[in-house]
Amino acid sequence: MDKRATHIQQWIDAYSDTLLDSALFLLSDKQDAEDIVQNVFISAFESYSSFEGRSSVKTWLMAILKNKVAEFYRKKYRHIDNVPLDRYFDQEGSWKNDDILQDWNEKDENLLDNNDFNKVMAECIDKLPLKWLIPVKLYYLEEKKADKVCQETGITATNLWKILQRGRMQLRECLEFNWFNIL
Amino acid sequence: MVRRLIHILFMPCRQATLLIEKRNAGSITSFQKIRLSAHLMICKWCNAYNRKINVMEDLMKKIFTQDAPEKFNKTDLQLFKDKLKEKLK
Repeated sequence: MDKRATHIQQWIDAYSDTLLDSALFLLSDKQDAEDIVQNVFISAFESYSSFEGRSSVKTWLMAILKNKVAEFYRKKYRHIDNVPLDRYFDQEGSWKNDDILQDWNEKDENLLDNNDFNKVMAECIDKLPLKWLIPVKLYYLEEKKADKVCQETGITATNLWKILQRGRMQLRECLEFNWFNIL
Repeated sequence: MVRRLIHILFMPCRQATLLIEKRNAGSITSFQKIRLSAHLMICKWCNAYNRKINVMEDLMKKIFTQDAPEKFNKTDLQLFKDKLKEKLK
């Protein structure tokens, strides 16, 4: 085996689990995750010479993964024509009801240390449609660089803001219903 | 009545909540920033939303940037590795 093949074999052993878990987290589908990670390694194999060791192998592979996920998204959801907000706002754009005014009364600063809360949060996240969830996750993974996410996924800037806005409204609603017991 | 006034004078809440996203991403223009502050000052609905969003922003950032939960079992993982290694020899 040449040097390239040896390295790739080692990388498959070392990084498959991290990449698969990340891919599954982003795509919420096991088969899609396996397909995409396989493509990551094929790309790494083909562009091996362009890896210059400037970043760690893991960082490089993760960057390829993010690209592949964006590409997957682009192909699957070619058109995001409208992000409806009529569940929350009336025709004039005012809040439909007063739920939003109720405080969360959450004194506990470290909600994420609470396993029950984490469970509710995970369930609420899973309820978001992938069409919105993937860009939201990518947005955070790319350290909130909106232009980068737009460029990779082909979403317009306006639509990315709307997706974030809509996704967050729905998450908030779900958390209020299932955790803060407001709705 | 108040809502109607807010809508006319300081953009609709639908727009203000979008600007909150832009602000949190650091992509807001100075003009938009002023409009948003004015809106938040007089609109108790968006003001309440803004407070909740700040909590959520923190939660989401932590959840979405931490290591993904381990969900693949050992057998599947080994099978995946073996197949792929055979392919990329």
